[in-house]
Amino acid sequence: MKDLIFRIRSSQYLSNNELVAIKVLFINILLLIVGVITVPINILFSGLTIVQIAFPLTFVLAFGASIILNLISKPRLAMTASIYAFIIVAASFFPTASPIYIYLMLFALLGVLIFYQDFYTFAIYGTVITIFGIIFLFFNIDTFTAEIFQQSATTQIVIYQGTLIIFYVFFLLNFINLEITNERYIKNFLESKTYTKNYIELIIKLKEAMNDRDRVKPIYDQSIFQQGLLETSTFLGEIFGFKAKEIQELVEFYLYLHEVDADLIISNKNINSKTKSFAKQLKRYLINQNNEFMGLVYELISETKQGLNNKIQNLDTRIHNSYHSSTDRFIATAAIYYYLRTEITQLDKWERTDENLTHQSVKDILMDSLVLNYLSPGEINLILDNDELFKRML
Amino acid sequence: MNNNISLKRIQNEIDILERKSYRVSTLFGTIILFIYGLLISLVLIFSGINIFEAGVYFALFALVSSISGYLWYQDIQLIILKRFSYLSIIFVYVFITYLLFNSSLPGIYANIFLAFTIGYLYLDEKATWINHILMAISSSLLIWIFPEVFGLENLPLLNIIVVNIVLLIILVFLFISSLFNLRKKRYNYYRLAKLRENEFKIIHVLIDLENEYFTQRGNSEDIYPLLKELFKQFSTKVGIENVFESRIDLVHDAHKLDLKEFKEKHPNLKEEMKNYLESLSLQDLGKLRFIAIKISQIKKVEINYSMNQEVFNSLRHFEDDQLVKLVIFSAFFVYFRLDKRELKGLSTEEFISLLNQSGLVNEIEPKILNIFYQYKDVIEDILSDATNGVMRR
Repeated sequence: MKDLIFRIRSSQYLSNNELVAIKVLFINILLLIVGVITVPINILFSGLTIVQIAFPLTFVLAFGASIILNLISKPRLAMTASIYAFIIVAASFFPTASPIYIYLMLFALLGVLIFYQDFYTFAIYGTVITIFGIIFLFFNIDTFTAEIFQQSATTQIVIYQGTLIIFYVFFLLNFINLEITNERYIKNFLESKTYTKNYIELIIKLKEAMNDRDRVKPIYDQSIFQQGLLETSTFLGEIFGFKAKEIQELVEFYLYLHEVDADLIISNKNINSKTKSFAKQLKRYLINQNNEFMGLVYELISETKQGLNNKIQNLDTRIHNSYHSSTDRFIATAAIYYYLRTEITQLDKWERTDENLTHQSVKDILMDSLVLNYLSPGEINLILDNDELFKRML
Repeated sequence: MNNNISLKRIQNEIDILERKSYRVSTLFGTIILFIYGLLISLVLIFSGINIFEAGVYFALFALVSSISGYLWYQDIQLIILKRFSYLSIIFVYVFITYLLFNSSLPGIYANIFLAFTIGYLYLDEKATWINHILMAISSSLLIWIFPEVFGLENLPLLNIIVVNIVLLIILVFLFISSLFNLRKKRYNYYRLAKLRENEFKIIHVLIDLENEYFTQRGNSEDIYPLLKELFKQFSTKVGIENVFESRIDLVHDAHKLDLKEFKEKHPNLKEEMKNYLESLSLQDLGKLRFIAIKISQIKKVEINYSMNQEVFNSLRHFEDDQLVKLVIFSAFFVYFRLDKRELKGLSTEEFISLLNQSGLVNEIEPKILNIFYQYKDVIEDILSDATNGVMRR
């Protein structure tokens, strides 16, 4: 419980799957309460029919599936199971409840989908529930229309249907809004992350070259690192109740993975599944590859660096936004061209950080749409329209 | 390193990202408000209400959505966009509550749900609070004042209370879900801004290593005569006056002279102008140099959208075994305790401080971190013994 509260309070740091898992847990608690109240009532009121057996049984199956799937870290499937459980609970009322209640229940079901905040789930199940609602209203015109209103029965039912449809459509637009925001964020994030990965690649290759030159072993191969890792892991692991042997084996396996191709171990049919599972997990954290671990390492190292000089107040990289006149923008563009042509920014054919861009490579880059994040068409055309001049002069 | 400037740049970037996102919400809000105003006015006309009254209602919605649309179009400050969105939400609830009490319309109560959807559009904490509180008040009012709408009029008081409580529970659930979303979104903006700032810092690591490895590098002032010749020929080619030469000389001066020397040579130019001109040079840690390095990597940028579920680097992946998390955290810690080319070995305190400063503290399993904090002195001793033992061997 304490852990759950902690997770809720730090929800922003959780992955999407972890968030879904917590939401499923919430819905399962609600389902448990609803189930405890409604299943006995249904058995009492529905008489000795197939419904008496079918509804409780399917509810328990869907509810149980949701709990189990959530426990085995399949939160998205658990979410679907919990939606089915809710639909079953609602459907169990249909034979006996007043149509007005059923109409409101459709909003509650849509509410559950909204709670999960998942576009595709809402688009699929929300559409089904809304269509069902429209048809249901057609078959219950008498209940939903009253003579106290001036409108005809058809108009009255259309108003009920319209309200349900608009509710659904507005929320669909809402989810589209969230998707747009999310897509844009993911695109920007992945773009920035890919750039970062490229810089780290250049750094790793440069360090390899420096280590070769100075005859220095990489850090994972140094006894000082290996011994330090073993002792620290064993101490921490024992506090958590792991056996020293188990910890030491994992540390040795982790170090061993630096010497071999982890993918070969993962795909080897003769190796047991536990070892493969560890190999799969540890692969992301090897020190000799450009992976998550090294991403984190350089994220931390970068904290000790200044980056941009202190006179720069923003992270805007568009030349157009930084310089007032076209004269200045052209000078900046030419300076960039010069840098690209003269400074080492690429890996050579031996994967060493040892090459600058050729004139043709710069031209190819200028044709890429990503360059618009930095240069506007006017600046790009300055180089492309005068490419011989640039090639000759800079 | 001035951390405050770095934080300021990150905050500027977060503001830009948030404003972009809120503009999209405002656009959707504008469209939905207009459509809803139009539909409800038409329904009221068909229901026999006089056209003037329906026209006034529509005019109100048209006014609110026009202002909203104008604010969207003008790319106005975020705070103004937000404040207007709060007013829009309140307006919709007030309007629907007014209709509830004054119009005899079938299913009018369900319009409260529509007000809720409009409020839900605005991705902001205050807007979420306003929306959920107004929804709780108006729906509770509806249950108690018009119980017949739900067929509750003949039921005991307890049943009405139960229906009200169920409704409030659903609202609390939706509220929590919205808060999850908002907090995640805000954190994502922070992460993106931080990642962008870090890009420049990681490039700095690269530049430092290159400076150490490639000792025979050209001088960054070599560019000026080349630029002058390039633009001289360019001006001749396109038949314009060569305005570039004097500007390049100024950039060169701003680059090579300190502030005092620059002011002596160009008494009419202020410090801000020197900084601006300097930013046009390929100075160390200048933006132009970093932009050039970013551009140099464009061809290798292939965005793999399939990895979008778990895009953060983290040492606390949901699916990892606890023991794996422990060993990897230990590897991370020991890695930073030892000397490297880019960074000297850190003390445990320096490591902790850097973790906090970078925000990476959130990417480590809290249980492991707590134990690490609790036993940091013992771990320090163990590690010193282990590394000294290796050194002695």
